Amino acid sequence: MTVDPFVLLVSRLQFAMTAFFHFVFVPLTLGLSTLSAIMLTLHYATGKEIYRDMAKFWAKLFAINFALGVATGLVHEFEFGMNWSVYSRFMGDIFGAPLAIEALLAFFMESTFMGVFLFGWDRVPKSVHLLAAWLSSIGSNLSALWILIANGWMQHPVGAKVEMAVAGKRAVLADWWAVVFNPVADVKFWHTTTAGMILSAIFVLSISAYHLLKKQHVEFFKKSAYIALIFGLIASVGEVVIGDIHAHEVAKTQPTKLAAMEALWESKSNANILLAVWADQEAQKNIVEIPLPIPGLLSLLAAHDFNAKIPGAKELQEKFQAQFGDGNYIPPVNFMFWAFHIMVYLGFFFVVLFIWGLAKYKDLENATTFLKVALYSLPLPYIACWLGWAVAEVGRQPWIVYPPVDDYGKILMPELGLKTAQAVSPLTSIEVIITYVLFALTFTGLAIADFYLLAKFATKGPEKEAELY
Amino acid sequence: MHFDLQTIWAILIAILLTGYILTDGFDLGVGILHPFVAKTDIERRVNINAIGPVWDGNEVWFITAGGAAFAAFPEVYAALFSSLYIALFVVLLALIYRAVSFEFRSKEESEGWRKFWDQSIFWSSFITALLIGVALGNIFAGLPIVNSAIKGEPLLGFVYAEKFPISFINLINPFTSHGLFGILVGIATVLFIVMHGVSWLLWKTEGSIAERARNIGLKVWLPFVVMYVVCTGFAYTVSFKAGDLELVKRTLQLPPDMFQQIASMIDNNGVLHHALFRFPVIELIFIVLAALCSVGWLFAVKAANGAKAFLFSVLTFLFAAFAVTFGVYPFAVPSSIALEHSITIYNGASSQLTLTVMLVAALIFTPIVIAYQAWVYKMFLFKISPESIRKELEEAKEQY
Repeated sequence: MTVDPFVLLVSRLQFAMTAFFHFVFVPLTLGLSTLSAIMLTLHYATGKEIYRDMAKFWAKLFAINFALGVATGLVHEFEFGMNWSVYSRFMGDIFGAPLAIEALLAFFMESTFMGVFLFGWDRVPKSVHLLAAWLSSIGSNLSALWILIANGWMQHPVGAKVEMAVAGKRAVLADWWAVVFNPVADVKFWHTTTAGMILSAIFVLSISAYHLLKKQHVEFFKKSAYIALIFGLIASVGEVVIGDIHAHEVAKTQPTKLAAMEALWESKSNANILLAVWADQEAQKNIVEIPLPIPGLLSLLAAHDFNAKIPGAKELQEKFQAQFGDGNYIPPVNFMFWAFHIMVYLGFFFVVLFIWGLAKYKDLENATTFLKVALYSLPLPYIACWLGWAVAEVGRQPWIVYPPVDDYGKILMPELGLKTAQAVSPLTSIEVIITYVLFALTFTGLAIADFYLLAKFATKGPEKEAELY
Repeated sequence: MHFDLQTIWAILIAILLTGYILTDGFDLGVGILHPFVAKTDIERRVNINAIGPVWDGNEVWFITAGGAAFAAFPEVYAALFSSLYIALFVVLLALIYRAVSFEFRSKEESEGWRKFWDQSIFWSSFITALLIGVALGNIFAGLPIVNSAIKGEPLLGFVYAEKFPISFINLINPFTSHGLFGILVGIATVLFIVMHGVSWLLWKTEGSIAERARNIGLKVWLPFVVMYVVCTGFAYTVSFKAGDLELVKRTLQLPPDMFQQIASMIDNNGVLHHALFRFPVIELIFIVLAALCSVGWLFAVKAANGAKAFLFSVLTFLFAAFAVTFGVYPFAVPSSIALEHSITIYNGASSQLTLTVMLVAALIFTPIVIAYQAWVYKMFLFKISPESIRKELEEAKEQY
C-alpha cells in the first residue's frame, strides 16, 4: 500500500486546524456553563436581581461561543472517517464506542437543557430552570469525559487485542472497563476540564476588568470578578496537582513524548528539570541548556523517586527501531520542550494572577495595574490550552495509536501500534486541498464574526433584552 | 430476519437516522421555507424562533447516528465517509452555516448582515436535505466499492474504485444508476422535509406564517407523492451482479439460511434481481401505509391542524423508512462492482463484545433521552406569532 505524502500532510494539517478551532470554543463552554449555573444558583438562593442579570449576561456570551464549538466538533467527528478511514476501520471497534456514548449520554443532555436554560426564563418553574442549567453544564463536562476516553485510548491503548477479520486486520475490544478506567484517559479528563475552568475564570475576570477600568457597572462586574477569582484560584491550584499526575502517567506510558518534552537525550538517574533549552535534533543533543538547580527533580516528578532512571531519547530511539523497524520515533524536541514549558509557566502565572486579584479585591475597581494585567491576560489561557494539545498530539507522533507501553518503556503489545502514515484514507490531492482551503476560510471567517459578536456583547455590558433569536 | 446483535444494531441506527429526519427534519423544512413564509424582519424572527429552543438538541440525533455507526459498523463508517468525501464535506459546511446563522442573525441590526444569514439559512437547510437524500439513494442503489482484503491488502478495508472528480460527479450523474436514484431520492427527501416543516409551522405558529405555510403545503403534496412512487418504482428495478458465489459466501458472512435465500434469487447470469424487494409483501404494505398517511397529512393541512399534520408527516416517514430498512437488509452498502465486495451488517460490524456494551448503553440512555426531549418539546409548544414576538421584544425594552 502506497500513501500519497501530500494527502497525508494535508489531512494532518486539516485535522490539526479543526482541533485548533474546536479548542477555541470548547474550553469556554466547559467552564462558563458551570460559572453561569453558579450565578443562577445564587440568584434563586438569594433572590437578588443582580445574580439574575449576571447569569443572563454570561450565558449570552456562552451561547454565542457555543454554536461554533458544536459546528467544529461535528466536523471533527466526521473527519475520522473522511480523512482517516484506515484508522477508523482498524480501531473503530474500540474507538467508536466512547464517541457514540458521548453523543447519547452527554450531547443530548447538554444541548437540550441548554435550550431550557437559555429560553426558559420565567417560562418554566425556578427549580426546573436551575436544574436545566446544571444538567447542561454536567452534560458539557461529561462529553469531555467520553471524548478524552477516546483520545486517551489513542495515547495508551488498553483493553484491546488484534484479530484478522474478513475486511482485514483490526483491533477489537477485550475489556471495556479497562478502556473506561484507562488511567491516561481519566487524568486527561481532569486536566482538560480544569483547564476549561481556568480559561473561563480568566474570560470572566478579563471582561470584568474592562468594565471596572471604565468604572461602569461596578457592582455587577466586581461581583462577577469575585466569583471568577475564587473559582479560578481553586481550579488553577488543582491544575498544578493534576498536571503533575498527568506528567507522571505520560512518563510511564509514552516515554518518547516525555523525553522530547524535557529535552532528555541521555538516559539518566537523578535527572534534572531544564528551564530553557535549544536542541539539535540531528545530532541528538542540546546546544544550550539551563537546568533548574534542584538535582533529581525530573526523576522525582516522573517516577516519584529522586534516583529513578528516566530513559532518554537516544536509548528509546534504538529500542523502538529494534521493535518497529526504521523510522524516527522522537517527536521534534524544541517544539515539544517549549510548548510544554510555556504551558507550565503560564499555569503558574494563573495561580499568581488569581491570588493577586483576591488580595486586591476590596478595592478592585481602583487596582488599575491588576485590572490592566487581567484584561490583557485574556489570550493566555487559550494559548496554554493549544500548547497543551500540541504537546499531547505532536508528542504522540509518529503514531496515531501509540503502542501500549508501561513501566517507562516496556512495550506490551507492539501489534496494536498504528503509525499516522498508515492510517490516512486513499484520497486524491485535489480532494484534500479543496476541503482544507474551504474549511480554513470558513472557520476563519466564522471565528472572526464570532469574536466580533462576543466583543460587542461583552463590552456593551448587561442589558435587558428578550431571549430570542 | 435474524434477531442477532448485528440486526439489532442495524435497526437502532435506522431508528437514530429516523429520529434525525423526524426532529431536525422539520428544522430543515422551516429553514427551506424561510424565504417563502416570512416576508418581514419580524416574521423571519418568528420563523427562526419557532425552532429556536429545540433545533440544537435535534441535530444531536445526526451526531449520535454518526457515532453509533462508527462504533457498531466501523467498516461502513470508514468506507462511506472516505468515499463520499466531498459530498459529506458539503453537508458539513451546510450544517456549520446553519448552526451559526440561527445564532448570529439577530445579534446585529444591519440589514446586510441579516440578509446574509437569511440566505445562509435557506441554502444550508436545502443543501443538507438534498444531499442526505442523494447519499441514501446512491448507497441503496450500490456504490463502486471494493473489499481490498480480497486482493490481499490487510489494512485498507473497503475502498472506492473511482477517483475524484469522477467519484463525485457520478453521485449526481443521471447516467449511472446510483446517481439517478440519488437524484430521485434527493428530490423526494427535500419535498418531504418541506412537508414536515409545514406541519411544524402550523403547529407552532399562528397568523401570517401559518397561513403561508398551509398554502405551500397544499402545493407540495402532489409532487411528493409522485416522487415517492417514482422512487419506489426505481427501487424495484435495482439489481446486483455476483461474480463468484463462493466468494460471496465467504466475504459477506451472512447467516447460512440468509445466504441461501439470496443465492436462490440469483439467476444463471449471476444477477440478483429486485435486490431491494426481497420481501415484496411486507414492503408493499408499508409503502401503501406511507402513501395513506400522506393523504391524512393533506387533510390535516387543509384543516390547518398542525398537531395532526405533524403526526401524519411523522407516520409517513416512519412507514417509508420501515419499507426501506426491510428492502436493504442485510446490506449496508451494496457494491455495484460485484456482490462479494459489498458491506453487509455482518462483515461490517464490530465485535460481539462491543455490540453488547453499546446495546446496554443504548437501552439505558435512549429512553431517557426520548423522555426528556419530549418533555422539553411539551414545554416549548406554546404558539408564537409576529404579534407575540413583537410584544416580547417591546416588553423587554420597557423593563430596562
